[in-house]
Amino acid sequence: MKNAAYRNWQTAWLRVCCLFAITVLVVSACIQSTTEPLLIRDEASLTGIDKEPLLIIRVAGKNFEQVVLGLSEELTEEFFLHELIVNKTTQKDQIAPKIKEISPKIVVLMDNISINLYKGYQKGLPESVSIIPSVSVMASFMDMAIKDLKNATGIFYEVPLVTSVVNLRAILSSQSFDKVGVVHRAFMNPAIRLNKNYCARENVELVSYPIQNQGHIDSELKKALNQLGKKVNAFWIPNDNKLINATLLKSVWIDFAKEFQKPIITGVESLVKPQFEFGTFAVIPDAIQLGTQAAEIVFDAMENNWEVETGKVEPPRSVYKIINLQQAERLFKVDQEKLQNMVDKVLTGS
Amino acid sequence: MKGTAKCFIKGAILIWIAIFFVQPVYAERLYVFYPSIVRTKIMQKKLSRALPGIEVRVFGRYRDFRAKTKADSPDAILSKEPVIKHLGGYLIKQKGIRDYDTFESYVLLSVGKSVNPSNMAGTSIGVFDILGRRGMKKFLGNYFRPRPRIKRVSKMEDLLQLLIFNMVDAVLIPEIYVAYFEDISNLYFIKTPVPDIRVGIIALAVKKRRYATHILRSFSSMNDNLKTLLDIENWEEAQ
Repeated sequence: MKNAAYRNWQTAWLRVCCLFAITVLVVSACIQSTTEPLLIRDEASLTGIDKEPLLIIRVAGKNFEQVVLGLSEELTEEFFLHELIVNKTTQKDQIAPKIKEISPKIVVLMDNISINLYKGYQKGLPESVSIIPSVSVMASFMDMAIKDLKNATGIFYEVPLVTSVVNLRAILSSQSFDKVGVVHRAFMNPAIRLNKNYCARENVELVSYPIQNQGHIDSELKKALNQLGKKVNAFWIPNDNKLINATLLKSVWIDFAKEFQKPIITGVESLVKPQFEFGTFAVIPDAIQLGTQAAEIVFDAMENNWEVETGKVEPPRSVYKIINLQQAERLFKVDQEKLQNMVDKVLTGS
Repeated sequence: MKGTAKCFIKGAILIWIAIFFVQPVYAERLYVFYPSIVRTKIMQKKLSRALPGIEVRVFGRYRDFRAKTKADSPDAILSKEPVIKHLGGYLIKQKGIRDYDTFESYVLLSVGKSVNPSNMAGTSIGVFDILGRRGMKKFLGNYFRPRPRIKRVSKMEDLLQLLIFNMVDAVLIPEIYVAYFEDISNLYFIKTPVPDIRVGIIALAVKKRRYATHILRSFSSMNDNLKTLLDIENWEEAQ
C-alpha cells in the first residue's frame, strides 16, 4: 500500500514537472509568435480616402524594384501606386490606354525605354491637353534623356565625382586629391562642366581630356592617359561603355593603373574587384534612397499644382560606397575609423 | 528516500531545461535609433558587444525603427526625446548628459552666405529625418515661422551632398556635428545658431508596464567608450 502510494506520488510529481515545462515552452512559443513583425497599415491606406493615383512605368529588374520600394515607403499613405512593366517590345500605343485607365496625377519613369515610350505618348497628344508631370530616374545622362519631355524632371543616375572625392579624401587622408583627371568622349562635355563646378566647391580641379565620340578610341585613349596621368593625383572613370569595356580594360586600362599607382575612382563595383588590380573606389546610387528622393519630387509637384521644374535634373544624394581595401592599404595610408563610418562595402580580396 | 531524491532531480532537470530553452526568448530587447555620424552596423556591433544579455537592434531609418517598434514592442528604446514622445507608450528613464546638460543646441550650416533663422520664408533646409514627413513638418513648424521647405535624409553624410549640390540653403544639425562636416569638406561653412531649438540629446525609455531591469542596470554602469559613441558624458535619471 505504502509503495503504491509512493509510486503514485512520484508519478504525480513528474507529471506536474512535465506539465510545467510544457506550459513554459508553449507560453514562450506563443509570446515569440505574437512578437513577430506585423504588417502595419495606417487608417488612410486602408480606406484610400483622398489618395492620388500615380503610375510607375519601368522595366523589370531588382534595382528597379528597390527604387519602387523607396517610392512606396514614402508615398503609400497619400498615393495609389500603379505599375506598368515594359520592355524593348512594348509599343508607345500601349501607354495611352494605361494612362486613360488610371488617370495618374504624376508618372514616374524608370530607364530609357520607359522615358522614350512616354515621349512617344506625349508627342501623340493634342496641344490643348494638359501634360501629366513626370519624374524620371535610373537612366543614363538624364538631362539629355528627358530633353524633349514637357513638364518633366528627373534625377541623374551618374554620381558626381565630388561625392567620391570627398569620401576618399577623408579615408586616404595622406593622399592629395587636388587634381583629378578624366578622359571622356566629347558628348559628355556638359556633364564634365557640371562636375568641374561641383569639384571646384571642394577645391578639387577636374582636369579633363575630351576625345572624339567615335573612331580609333583605343589609340586616342592611350595617348590621353599618358598625358593626363603625369599631371593628376587621382583618376576618374565615368560610366561610358565605349571607353571602359572588357577589351579596353585588358589592352589599355590595367596597364595604365599599374603605372599610375594613384587612386582610381569608378562608377561600377566590378571595376574595384581586387583581382583586377584596377579601381580603388566605386560609388553608385543607393536605389532605395533614389526612390525616396523621387518621392520628395512627387510631393513637391503635388504642392505646386502638379507642375515640375521642366528640365531640372538633380544629382542622386544618397550613395553606396565600395572600396578595394587590398589596393588602398597596399598603396596608401587608410584611416580606419573613417573607413568604418564612410564605406558601405569593403573588398579585401580574400 | 533515494527514489524521492531521484524523482526530485528528474523534475528539477525538466524545469531547468524548459527555462534554459526559454531564456533567450525573454532576453530584454532594446531598439535603437540615434542619428549620428557613426554607421548603423558599427553602432550595432559596439552596442551588442557592450550590452551582453540584451537583444540590441539598431536602426538607421526612422521608418524602419517606428515599424519594428510598433510591431515588436521592445522592452526599451534608445533615441532622441522627440522620437520617443512621437511614438508614445514609452516612459523616459534615463537622459544622456553632455556639458552638464541633457539638451543640445542646433545650428544652421550654410555655405558662403548666412541664413536668418527668424525669417526662413522661401528657403529650404536639409534635415536628418527623425519623425517622418509629416512629423518633421510639424516639429520644424514649432521653431520656424514660416516653415522652410524641408529635404529629409537618413544618413548624416547626405546632408553634405545637399550643400555641395546647392539643393538647400542650409542644413539643420546638432552643433556637435559641425566639426564632422568641417573635417571632411573644404566648403566655406557658415554656422548660424538657432537659439529656439534645444532638443534632448538622447534618452532611454522603457515600455509602459515593463521594467527592463537588466537594460537599466547596464546603462547605469555603461563604459565611457560607449557613452562617447552616443555623444554623451554620462546618464541622468529622468525626473
